[in-house]
Amino acid sequence: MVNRGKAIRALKFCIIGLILFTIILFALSLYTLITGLVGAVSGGSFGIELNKDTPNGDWLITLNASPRNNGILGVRLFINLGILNSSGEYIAANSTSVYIAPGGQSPFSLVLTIPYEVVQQYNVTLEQGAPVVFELMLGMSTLGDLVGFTQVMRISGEPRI
Amino acid sequence: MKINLKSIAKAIVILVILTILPVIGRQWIPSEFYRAISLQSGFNLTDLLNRIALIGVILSILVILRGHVKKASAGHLALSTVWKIFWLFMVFFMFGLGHPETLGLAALGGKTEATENTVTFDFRLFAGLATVIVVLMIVRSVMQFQETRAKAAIQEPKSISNVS
Repeated sequence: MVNRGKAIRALKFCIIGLILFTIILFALSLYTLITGLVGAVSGGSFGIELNKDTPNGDWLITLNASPRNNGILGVRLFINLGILNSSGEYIAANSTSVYIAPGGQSPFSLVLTIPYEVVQQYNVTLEQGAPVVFELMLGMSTLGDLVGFTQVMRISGEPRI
Repeated sequence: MKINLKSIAKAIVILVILTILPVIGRQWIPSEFYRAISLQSGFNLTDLLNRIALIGVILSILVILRGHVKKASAGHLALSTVWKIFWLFMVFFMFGLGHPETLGLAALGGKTEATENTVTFDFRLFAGLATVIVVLMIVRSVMQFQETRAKAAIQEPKSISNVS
């Protein structure tokens, strides 16, 4: 009985400790994700360039980024650029991920190559009308990729009527 | 059975805040707001308010029941377990932004003519930790119940012998 009493008390402290641990971890990860996102997208840290003048006619979409992490924990930033056809299949895609240490900055570039044949086949132009969807996926995670968020932005060449 | 006024008062407060206010208050929310929220974030506000109202009803019932059972009874243990599981459900409800079935994944998103934007938050780690905490709490409740029963069993023969 004495042992059971001790076990109940030990369990009580274990539960309190676990609750505090969870709350602290939640606050830390949320703070890191918010500051990480602010540091990643603010102050012109992202830029997209389009190069159509390549020798073989391919289009190159280059994403230059220099995200900063002002949080307390390290974050992993994942970026995917893609072009999808009207059936939702990728016709061109490229992705990368970088780890940004707390207080650090990790510049990187991501190049999406749209082959000349695809440009011709789908009549890709800078104006609306092409039957393709441009996709930008931005993911940010912390605590060893256990907590995070993913944002998917899709812009259709053919607006829905 | 003795009526526990404190638990009834608590239940009424919960019912007013979580059920009556969301049900009555929704008529004052402009329809444009509903439309904007639904378009931009994919959030069904009416559905969320209905779910909160239902939570309010269940919570009030649990509060009343808890106030009317004896502390050392098996009924109290059962109710305490249901109470803890319900709180876990509430944690999942909050992490899932009204959708506890996602188990810690919250999705927001909206569509306009040519653009689509979706954001998915992954809080499954905390949902898992909350589950561990609730399991430990239930184990502790069961152990406490067993200890109380054992103490009562020892004390009963003593009191009988004192009387005789």
